[in-house]
Amino acid sequence: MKLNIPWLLWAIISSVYALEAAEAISPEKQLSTSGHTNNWAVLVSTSRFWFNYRHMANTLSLYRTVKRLGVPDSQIILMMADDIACNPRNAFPGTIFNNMDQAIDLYGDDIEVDYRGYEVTVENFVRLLTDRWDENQPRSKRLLTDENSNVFIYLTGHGGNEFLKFQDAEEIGAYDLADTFQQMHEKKRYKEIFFMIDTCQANTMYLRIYSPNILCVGSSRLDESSYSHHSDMDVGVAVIDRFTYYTLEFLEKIDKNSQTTIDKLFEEYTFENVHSHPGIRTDLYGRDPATVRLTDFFGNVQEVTVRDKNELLLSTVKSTRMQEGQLPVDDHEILRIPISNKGYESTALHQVSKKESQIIMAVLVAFLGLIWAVSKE
Amino acid sequence: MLQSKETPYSKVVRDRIVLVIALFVFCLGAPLFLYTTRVHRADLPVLELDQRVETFADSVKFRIPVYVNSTNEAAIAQIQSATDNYISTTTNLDLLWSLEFRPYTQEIDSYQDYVLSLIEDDESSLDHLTQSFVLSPFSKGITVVLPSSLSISNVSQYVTEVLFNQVFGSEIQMFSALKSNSLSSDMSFPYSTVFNVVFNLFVQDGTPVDWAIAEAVPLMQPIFQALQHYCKFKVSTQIQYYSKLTNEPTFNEEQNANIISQENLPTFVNFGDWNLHNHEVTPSINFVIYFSELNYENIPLLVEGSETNSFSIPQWGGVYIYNPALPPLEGSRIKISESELNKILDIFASQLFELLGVPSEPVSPLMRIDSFQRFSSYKNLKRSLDNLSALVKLSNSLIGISIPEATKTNVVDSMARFDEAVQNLSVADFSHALENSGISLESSDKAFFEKEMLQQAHFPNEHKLAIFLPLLGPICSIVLFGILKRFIAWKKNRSALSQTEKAKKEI
Repeated sequence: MKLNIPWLLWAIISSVYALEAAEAISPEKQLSTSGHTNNWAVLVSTSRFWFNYRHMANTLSLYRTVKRLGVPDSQIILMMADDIACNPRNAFPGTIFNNMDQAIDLYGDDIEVDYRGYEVTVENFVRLLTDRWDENQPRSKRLLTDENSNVFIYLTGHGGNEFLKFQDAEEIGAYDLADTFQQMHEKKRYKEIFFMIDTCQANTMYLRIYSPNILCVGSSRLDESSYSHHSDMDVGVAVIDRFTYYTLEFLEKIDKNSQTTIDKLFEEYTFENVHSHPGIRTDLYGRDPATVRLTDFFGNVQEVTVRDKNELLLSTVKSTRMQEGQLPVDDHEILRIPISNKGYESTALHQVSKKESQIIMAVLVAFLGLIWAVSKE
Repeated sequence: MLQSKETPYSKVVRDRIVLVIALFVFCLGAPLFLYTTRVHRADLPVLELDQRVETFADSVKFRIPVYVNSTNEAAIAQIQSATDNYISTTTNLDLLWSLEFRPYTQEIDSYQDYVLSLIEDDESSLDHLTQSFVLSPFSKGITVVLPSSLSISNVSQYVTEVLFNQVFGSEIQMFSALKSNSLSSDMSFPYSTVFNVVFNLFVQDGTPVDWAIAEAVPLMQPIFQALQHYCKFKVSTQIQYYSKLTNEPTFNEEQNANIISQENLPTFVNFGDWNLHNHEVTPSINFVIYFSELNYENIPLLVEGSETNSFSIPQWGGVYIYNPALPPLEGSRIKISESELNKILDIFASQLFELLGVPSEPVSPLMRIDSFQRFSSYKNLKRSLDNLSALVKLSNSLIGISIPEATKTNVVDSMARFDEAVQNLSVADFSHALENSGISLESSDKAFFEKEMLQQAHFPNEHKLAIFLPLLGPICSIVLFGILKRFIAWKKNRSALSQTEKAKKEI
């Protein structure tokens, strides 16, 4: 038998390489950085009324978590009906609990609800994301993100196939949501978005999104309900949803400087836990979730710059000014192009003016008269 | 077959009524419905915008005048060609950015313009070639000392090196990064015409601490003055007590000090607990002086790896940890004096430069601010065109969105300012170019964020049917079926008539 030496050599070399390659793929993947400089959170509970206690508790639990992990309150937008804590049916007035052990009062003493009651509307939600307000809108109620912002968006409430109901009055469709994200993308209003939704048939809500760098998670797929976790017999209603319960259970173990990656959170989303099929959409997202830290969305980890030398700028600029003498400071009024107010009066939907309504009335009267005239014997 | 007892006259009346209602619905109702539910879409000046986007590279040009003070007349032309050559060969800024050398006259002030002084050093001999340069730490003066024997090409080569490595180095880097869109993460504050500067004193416990901030704030005024073309500053101050730390610092026995480790710095500012809110509409730059309660026990709190005991947080502000030079006396009230604050504000001034994105090179603040202003104008102009293009793209892709006249007004305004800025740039009036570019950016933002421009505020096309069907359905169906019925009856009638006529003819 003739040994094929080059073949043997190749086999040995390739097996060595294979070994090395196997070593290179270690279970711990390198963490990736998003390069964001600020974090924002938009937390929305779209329900009202006492029996939707759990939706308020869901939202407040996440509020508590993102705040605990360091996102400043000025960068958290909290939208909810806020009719639970002081509801006459609440046996524990002024409190909201997310667990029957009643260990954590979520309502606490430091809650800043940005949009409450009937302010929780589709219009306000879309306005918030696209930042389309008049100039009187306070800064604390605006989502002032830029191209370096990581945004966590959490929605909970009652939903259906490709829609989410807002307070029994209206609904937002999956297409509207997708278009809104696209507008944010066009205006460079985010670096990355983590979109989480806990409703019935939640996964249908993110299917229409087409803008890049959005990581989506939903609690249940088409034709599936999302279930509540447990009821508190003293409160009398369900206090938290399963999906959010397991999310929180995991996040409670995270601290501000945690290096835990987001795929570990996804591992919690099993059918055994949630009793529905949670969905994860990563095709729009540029990074591998196994390399993304949770604190990229849930914390406020910023890269700080330590200053080690003093430039004595104050005295330098001051002496510059002094040497400059009393040079005339060039601060003449800059020219302004006049803007006519006419443009601002135009509105998208036609407002019927008084005169127009008079004309319409007159035409209607004439019309009735005409009918009377033609039918008269 | 049962005969209708209807008189022919009532038949005619019914016909007329159907006719009148149908005419009413189609001639008046339908146009009125379309008119009142239409989405207004203003005609955006797309062509004009496209033209500006296309000619952006040709129209936006930075020609920086440098006045050369030299006895050698030929030097200017030589240096000019050497620098032009350098820009076209080693950078991607051809056409966009260049230096323009002009002869120096007495009226030129080195605090206003760049002045390059070439000094010939006669003392040095041939074998002892010494070339050196001095950058003024205050003004925009550049002095290059050369041996007189040096050949003119060597002179220009050396001057080019000095200019591009020492004076304009960071500016060129920023420009080329922005031009190639590779500015990966910009940590500086986004442009705004007004910033609030908030000086905070956060005290760990409740013991009163005084600070001479009212006297110290005017010290910052020259800095604000120097940046006046970029933005305006509004200053406010506050003291907060009982400001607990989120992470306990670690005690270092060697230094007898508490150390805040590098990894705890990002979470040093306790956003959840410290009251950092303010209700301004414009963005705020926060400067925090932190006063630890251990100061009373003479244990300093130190930032790991920082000599100045300070650090800055991008797009938020700066932090300085205060430790008194001398341990405070028992029971005495601590006051941070004006001279101490002077030192602290010095650090904050450097941090302010850093937070706004002013380059750290060269030494002279005038040169740094100059570079910053040019770079910012370029960035603003680029961004405002980006915004407007995004707006046009959006208005084309979302059919249901309304484009109010105000958006158009702002687009036109933004483009007018853009043109003005370009005009300013062509005459090297960089400070006004910056102001105009800023307004152009602001207008383009306003155009994009116009309140009325909201798809959801009106009925999206998919929802229109659902909303109007209950309203229009009954009317339309009645009218439609009425007309159909009359039409069928009329046709029947006609065929019956023609048959009787045929029958008559046959007879």
